[in-house]
Amino acid sequence: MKKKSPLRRKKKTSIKKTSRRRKNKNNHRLPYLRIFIASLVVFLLYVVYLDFEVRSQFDGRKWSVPARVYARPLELYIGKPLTHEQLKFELNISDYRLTSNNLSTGNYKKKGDSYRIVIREFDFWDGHQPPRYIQVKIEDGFVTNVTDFRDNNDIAVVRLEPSVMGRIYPSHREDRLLVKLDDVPEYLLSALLTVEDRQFYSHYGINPKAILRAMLANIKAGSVVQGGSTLTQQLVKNFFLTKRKSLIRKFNEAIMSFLLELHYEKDEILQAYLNEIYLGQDKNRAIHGFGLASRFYFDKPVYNLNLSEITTLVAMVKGPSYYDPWRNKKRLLSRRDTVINLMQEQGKITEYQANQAKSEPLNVLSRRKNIRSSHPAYMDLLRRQLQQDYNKEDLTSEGLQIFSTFDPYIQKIVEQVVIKKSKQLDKQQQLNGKLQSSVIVTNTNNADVLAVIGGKQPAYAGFNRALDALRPIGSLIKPAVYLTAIQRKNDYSLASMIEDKNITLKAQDGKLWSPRNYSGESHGEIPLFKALISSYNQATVRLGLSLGFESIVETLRNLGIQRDIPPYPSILLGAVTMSPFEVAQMYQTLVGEGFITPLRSIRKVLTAEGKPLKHYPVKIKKAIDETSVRIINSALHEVTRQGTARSIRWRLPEGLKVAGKTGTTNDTRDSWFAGFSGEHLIVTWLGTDDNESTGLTGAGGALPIWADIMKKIRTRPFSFAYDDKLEYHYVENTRSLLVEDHCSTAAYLAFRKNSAPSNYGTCK
Amino acid sequence: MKNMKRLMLRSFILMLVMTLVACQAPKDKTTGWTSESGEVRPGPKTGKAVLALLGKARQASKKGSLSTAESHLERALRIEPDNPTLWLYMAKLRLYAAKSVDAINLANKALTLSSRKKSLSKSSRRNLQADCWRVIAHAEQILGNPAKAHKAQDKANSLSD
Repeated sequence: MKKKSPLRRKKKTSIKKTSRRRKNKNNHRLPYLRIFIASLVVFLLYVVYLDFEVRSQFDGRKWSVPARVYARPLELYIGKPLTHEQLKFELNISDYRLTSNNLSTGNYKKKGDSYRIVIREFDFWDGHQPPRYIQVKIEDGFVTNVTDFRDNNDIAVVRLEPSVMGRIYPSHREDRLLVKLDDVPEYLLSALLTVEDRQFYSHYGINPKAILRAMLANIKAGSVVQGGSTLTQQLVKNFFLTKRKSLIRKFNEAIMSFLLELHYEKDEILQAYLNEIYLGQDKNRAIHGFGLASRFYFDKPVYNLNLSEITTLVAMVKGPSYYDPWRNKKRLLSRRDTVINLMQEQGKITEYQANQAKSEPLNVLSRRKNIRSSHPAYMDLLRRQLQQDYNKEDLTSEGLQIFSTFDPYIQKIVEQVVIKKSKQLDKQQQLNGKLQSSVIVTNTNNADVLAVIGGKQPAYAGFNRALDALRPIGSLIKPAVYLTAIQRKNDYSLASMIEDKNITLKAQDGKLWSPRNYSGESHGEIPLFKALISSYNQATVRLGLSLGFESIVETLRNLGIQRDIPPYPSILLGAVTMSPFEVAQMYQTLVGEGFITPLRSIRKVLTAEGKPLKHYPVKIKKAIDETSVRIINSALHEVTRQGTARSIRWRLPEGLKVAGKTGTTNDTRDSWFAGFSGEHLIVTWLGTDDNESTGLTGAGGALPIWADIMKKIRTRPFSFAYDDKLEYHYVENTRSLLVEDHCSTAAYLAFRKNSAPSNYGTCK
Repeated sequence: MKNMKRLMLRSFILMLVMTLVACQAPKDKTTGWTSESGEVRPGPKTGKAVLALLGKARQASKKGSLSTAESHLERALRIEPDNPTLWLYMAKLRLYAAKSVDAINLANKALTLSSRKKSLSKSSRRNLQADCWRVIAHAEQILGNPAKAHKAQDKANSLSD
């Protein structure tokens, strides 16, 4: 191997060194350039990204507008059952004001039995209703006349525009009412620009002069007294960025403001600002934009605001909480006057106008009026029914208009009754405030859900017992057992004799089970209807066994119960658990004479622009023959005459016929009543959340609440169905014998033609 | 040929829908309502409102906007929920909207209500019931159940004799 000379080696090293040095020299210069280029690329990419953000958000969903849920509109026509009290309530919740001056839209006058109302225009799902000038006369609890008070022409039927009963908020709970620039009074715009951004129409998103001026002012004052942000910057801050103050945010704000100005007209930006700006808080609802703020603080549309109100709102832009009109009234007043002075200085208003406006009080609504009652249990039901068709995002941001079946007047009555009665019962049973209750009211004819209560404090959201409390339904199940029997037309009629005797059978856990009657006694041979109306357990179990579980489960299914029901003997006495809502569905099929009608809380869904999205039509399905159901319903009427619910006879006015069934579970843990008039189905439940014994039977707890509600709402009596297939007879309640109608033991019952007992007995 | 048949059927149904108001105006009814003082008493008749809404429904169905027609009809049904004529009209609208199963259910509801409607005269009840069976017959035909359609048509014929 040849040895390399040290010299050569050295030379080589030196060449290497030189080239490395050169390279190093280049390396020293290049990195800066590279870093610069790289930074520029990153910056540009970032700007492109921000540009994309700005444009996509601004072009797409500009504002998240929560879905508005409307109550059912009040229909006015001759023959409508309506009291003065109810009409006043309805006018009040729709923000109609009693006036003695000239009538304008949204006002009404009362003279004697007549009302003159100027109904606001409204876009209903079936068309536009222009403002209507109506005169309504109410006599003896009915509308007896509806005319147009301008020309005295008769009006066949007209609707009050529906009140907003709730909103479906996104998680940040922003609420707003969108306004167009054209609807906003000129003074509002000039006040806003005078105070917040005088160079709005000439800057490019940021106003260095304003920033400088603000900085000087702040240094002079020693604290932050002025902001230099343009309206565009404020919008960007509200619109895209978090509340956190940081340099990066400021940087983003500046770039985004510039980008916004690059892509959009000044007027578009201003309109966005008017709708976006945060203007206050209503509990956990955030009030955004001038449209909603003017409703929220003054109960007026924005175009009706006067100068004092306009400047009040503009004054609040700086800090809605700091200038809260209820908590910091003086502070806000002085800020409002500052705004007025600035406008005058700038020549936007005259001295006279300024003085006039400054002499006015704040005129903000009283806090109490503003706190609308909320109906969390109903909203919960509605939300669940909506979520079958819409995703959460659309519901909370697209401004959908949802027309519900909610009846605010009935809900009010139910709430009053529940609050009062459950407190009384709780005290009476010494339950230490543990007694809970839930109620559902539906329309018997179309299954509209009219009112829902999910607990003893209806205004509080929380556990919705009406939908989620799964409790054994006790004797509420019995009509299904007896209906199964009656459907076997050759075997059973209401007067068929059955046995009410001790019985022992093997339960699902292998143990022996001997059901007992509530009174502890057995009654021997009795007519079938007697066992139903007096809710005898032993007779029901015996009958159920002879019918077979499968056919009873099938009847339950035909009544609209969808959950799985295990075919155990104990289901015959209602060991099956259901929610009050499911019970209502089951009894809806009974009152619907065998037609299943799904309970519905939604009528229509419209887009924000009023385009129909979805119609929820009446859906019915014949599931059980009407004759059998009519027979059972005649017995359920007897329950309220001489059965377990006979106290209804003195609880309700004489002519108000109803039908229903009590339910009590073991150790009086649940107290139920489900029943109906000719117009309303009501299900009431009472119990405690930890399943304690309440000492209340169905008749002792749920029934008084049920009856009180039924008494207070206007309703139609339950009526017997007289058709070609049925005949009605008075039947003795201990034997299968016909009797005269004056017998105290006689029950008036429906029979299939030629299936009634043929022998007459004497009164006992 | 098949299209022609379908077209004829649809025009027939439309005719049915449109002629309904003329052939069977609902009778005024007196219903008892509970009053503030408790007793049940009849209120003034509501027929005027219902007729006005039926008129609107007819106009809308003439223009082909079935869902608007249905909305008017639903309003009328809220005023007189046990009026079988309104349910029958609803059934006809669904039949025209090719919702045959719904149409059958609604016609059945109208039949059920007609049997208990006291204010109907015997002949108008028979006419109404015959009309219900005709709707069912058409709907069954469309659903491809000729036997059921035939049976329903027989019932309609026997009622209109």
